[in-house]
Amino acid sequence: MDSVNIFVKNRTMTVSICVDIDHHSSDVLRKRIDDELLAKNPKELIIDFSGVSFMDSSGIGLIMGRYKLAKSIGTVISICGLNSRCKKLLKLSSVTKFIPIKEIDNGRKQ
Amino acid sequence: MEESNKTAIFFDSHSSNEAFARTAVSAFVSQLDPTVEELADIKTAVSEAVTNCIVHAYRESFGRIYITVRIKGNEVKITVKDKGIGIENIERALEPEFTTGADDERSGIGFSVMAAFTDKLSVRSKPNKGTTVTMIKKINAKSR
Repeated sequence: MDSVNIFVKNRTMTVSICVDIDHHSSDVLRKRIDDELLAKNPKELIIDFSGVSFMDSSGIGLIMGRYKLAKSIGTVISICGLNSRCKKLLKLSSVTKFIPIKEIDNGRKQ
Repeated sequence: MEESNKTAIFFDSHSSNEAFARTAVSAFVSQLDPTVEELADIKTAVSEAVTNCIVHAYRESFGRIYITVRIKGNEVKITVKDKGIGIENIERALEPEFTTGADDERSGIGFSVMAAFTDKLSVRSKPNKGTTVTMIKKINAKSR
């Protein structure tokens, strides 16, 4: 399975991450997401974490970095599908001050 | 007298070993029958400590990372040691969102995570000698 699936519909780009996020994996994720983001220049970017069972603070860096890039090209970013573990981690950072956390609304179980 | 049990591993400072390190530690701790949450806390804390060794201690080089895990009663003591560049100002390094690796999208909350996800964190370091991070976590398993 791919570590990340990206699709664009109606200028909304959804990035579904399906791999443990640590310093090792975040390098690859960063490149994949940034390449697509710059190529497609969507109006909205949603990063879906429902396929992520483990994440350390590298995930925070990954989110903040995408937030900065998205902002610089006028894309609005949000994140969704975070399990309770990821949310606990996010609370230790200031990420949630900048980026809204959405609950998944497409009928999939979290 | 409480029984104690110990393991030690070392490995090269390749980022591909981050997953190995946290999985190995959590496998050893599993004998205490921890909750999913407790085990996840330990995995996250170990991941942060090992990442620090790779990203900071051995920034310009490769070296070895040494982990020991000791179980005594319901207490787990984990040390993560490197022989890298060391930390000049530990107090500053422990501040939330402080990082020397600004260019690489580091969030700077590694030590905050270790402190929040374990019961006790201590850091000893000498410039150019290395750093030892010690974390203690109490396991309050359901079966006890």
